[in-house]
Amino acid sequence: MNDQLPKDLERRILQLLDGELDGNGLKQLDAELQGDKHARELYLHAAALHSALQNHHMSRLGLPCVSIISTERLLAQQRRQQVRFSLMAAAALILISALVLWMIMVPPTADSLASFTITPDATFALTHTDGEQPPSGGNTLREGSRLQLSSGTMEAEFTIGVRCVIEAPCDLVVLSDKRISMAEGVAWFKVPPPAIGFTIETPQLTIVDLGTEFGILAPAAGQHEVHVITGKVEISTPGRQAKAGKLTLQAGQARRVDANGNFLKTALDSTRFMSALPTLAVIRNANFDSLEKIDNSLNNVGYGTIPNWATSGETVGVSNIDQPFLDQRAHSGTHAAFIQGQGAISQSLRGFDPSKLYTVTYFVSERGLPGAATRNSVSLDLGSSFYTQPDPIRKTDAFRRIVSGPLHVFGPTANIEIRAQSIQGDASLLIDSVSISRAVPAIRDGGFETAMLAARQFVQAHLPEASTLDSSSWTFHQGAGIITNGSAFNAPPAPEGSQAAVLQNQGAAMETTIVGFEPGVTYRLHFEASGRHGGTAELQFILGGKPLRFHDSDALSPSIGRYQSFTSDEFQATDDNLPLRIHSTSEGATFFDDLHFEFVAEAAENH
Amino acid sequence: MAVPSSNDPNPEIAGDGRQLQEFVRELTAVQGRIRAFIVSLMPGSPDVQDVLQETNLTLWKSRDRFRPGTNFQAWAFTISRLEVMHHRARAKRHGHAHLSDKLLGMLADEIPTMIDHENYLHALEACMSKLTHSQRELIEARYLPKNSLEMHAGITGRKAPALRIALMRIRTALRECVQHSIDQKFA
Repeated sequence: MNDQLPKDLERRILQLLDGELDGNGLKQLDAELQGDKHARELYLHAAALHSALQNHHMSRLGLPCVSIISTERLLAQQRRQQVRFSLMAAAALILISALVLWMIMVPPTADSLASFTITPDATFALTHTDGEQPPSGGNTLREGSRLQLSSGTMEAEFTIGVRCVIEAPCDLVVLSDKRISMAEGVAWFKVPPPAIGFTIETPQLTIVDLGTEFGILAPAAGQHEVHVITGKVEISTPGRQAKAGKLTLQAGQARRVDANGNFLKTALDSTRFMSALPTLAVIRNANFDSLEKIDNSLNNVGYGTIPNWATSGETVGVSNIDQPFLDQRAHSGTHAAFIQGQGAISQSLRGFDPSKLYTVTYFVSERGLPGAATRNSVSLDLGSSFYTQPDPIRKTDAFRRIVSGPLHVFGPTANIEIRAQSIQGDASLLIDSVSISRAVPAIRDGGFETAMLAARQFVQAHLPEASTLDSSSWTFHQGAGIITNGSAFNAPPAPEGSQAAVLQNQGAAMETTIVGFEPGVTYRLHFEASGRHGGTAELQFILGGKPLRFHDSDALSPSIGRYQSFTSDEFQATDDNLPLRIHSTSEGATFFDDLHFEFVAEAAENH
Repeated sequence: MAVPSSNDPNPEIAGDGRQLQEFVRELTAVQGRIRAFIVSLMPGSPDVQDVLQETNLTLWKSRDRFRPGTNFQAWAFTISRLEVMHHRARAKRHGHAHLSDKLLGMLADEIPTMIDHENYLHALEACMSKLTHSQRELIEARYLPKNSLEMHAGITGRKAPALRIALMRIRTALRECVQHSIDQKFA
């Protein structure tokens, strides 16, 4: 033990591990551990010993030291949507009883009236009148089936062609092929002509379809509503089936029913209903060009609220390009967000699939006061999954692309947060064009900005052997290098940041390793490239040992004097990590910049 | 239950069999380390086993993404960390105190270089053998399920607070012994 550490530190650590340290003690110890690496080392040793002692004594009793995952537990996940039959037996003895997965899905039976799919976050109970329980009943509904959805969303397709999407909480019973009762739920229905007469009963409303698309709001407590989006429906209240009690609603009309059974007019709101299972939401005001609620009349910078975004920090806001922070620069549109000093902007998004990984992409620059630099990071789920840009952000001529690489989410809704921390000078991070997609690998230094060169300079490798350059993750071979805007190469301005790569003459090459592919997933590579006046070098991109193809060609030859966008043909990743080599196959020089991947398609199912 | 062989009549199962075997081997091998990782991030929590179970469940559901030869432990630790965070988010709502996010992040980054679970276990065996009979009894009173220091106090006639202090000293001695043993091995 380090002699500099407090004498009672280990005692308090052991108390913490035993669950016997009170709140104040925890707070104090937490601060001490944060501030002292040796204290953390001691803590980790004590925790490792504690865990080892627990294992040692459990194994002495013959108790499993590993966790048991019961078959029931796995079945209870209910997150599968496809027909699967999978039986696994483990070679490892201790897991034989633990990791047995038996997932069965029986094809729809002859008396099935509907099949349904659910979102990954859905939890539900499905019962049938004959008492048969899933999974042997599959994701099908029969006469008498009761589906109780406590979270998530389900989409059902009836054999007669009716399609519906219902959000939890929901409790429905299938009464017949054309009749269901729904005690609770927010539901959207689309009924084709052959199914006219399809009827939904809620405790407050009976809705008979007359060929239409409509939505029903049926909260467990509160007034029920029907909204007719197209076509028409006939509504009545249970127990009031006399003709006088019926009302036909046309497209564009909506009614809610009060406690006395009266139909009250209400405004149609089709946005309250989902017509398909949710997909990843679009980020609202992603370009910060929404002018709603912006009030920067009080200052000439734009401090204040950002429409659709939550902010933390006193000096956060939106500037337009005429205001001093942007100085006529935005990545898109006329505005960008800024974080001066430190702070964050965040937005909650829904539609995530927690079993998948996601990437946040955005563009940044720095206001550019002398010496100013900012550290920036992006996270999902309140920081539980995050990416920090490894190099500081300084002022660049064009905004830089930040690609988070793969991030996890815990549920269908996640909070995306972009955070900035000034690390030098009076720094203000400028942010623009935020987007989210299924995960793609982040190309470290895909914009060739991390090794920051002096203005109007360039560096180039002279030897065939690999050379490295400061913090760049690339290696450079004879004739490969990095240029800044205004260098002697006389290249067009870099489309991303202030720097680009150059390959000059045959044999010039650059190499890096790309981390974060998902094997089997289909991607495309995008970048910008320009030939040099006096001759363009033909480029080849070799990923994982195979040439990337461009319109079925292995090589490309950019036009002279201006950057063009290039997109590779689609390719499937074969591994998590793949080496990328870019080399020239002819004399001349080519500049390229802004390399980034695009997610195209999921891996094919192996079932 | 048999491991699917290459002659398995079901080609789907046969094709995945070897990879599954490898997955399970890795998952089994890393269990102790995951547990120690979680214990470090959730000190004193009675829910370590639950989080371990959730971690295993997530790993199992993600098994299609597993590729033999990749760093399974790093992957498992990442999943564990997320499960710990998930658990904390739930527990916070119930007012339970935890390590701060900042400290958790620091520890999670530093643990992978600290934890060598197998070496700990081997060293621990040797160090335990150096304890006196009464010291071993005290450790068992703390760590054997269904035992407690209070029960041990009743049996031995000693006061529980005194036993608690003695236990602390023994664990410190064990920690020093284990650390010394590991340091020597790699010296």
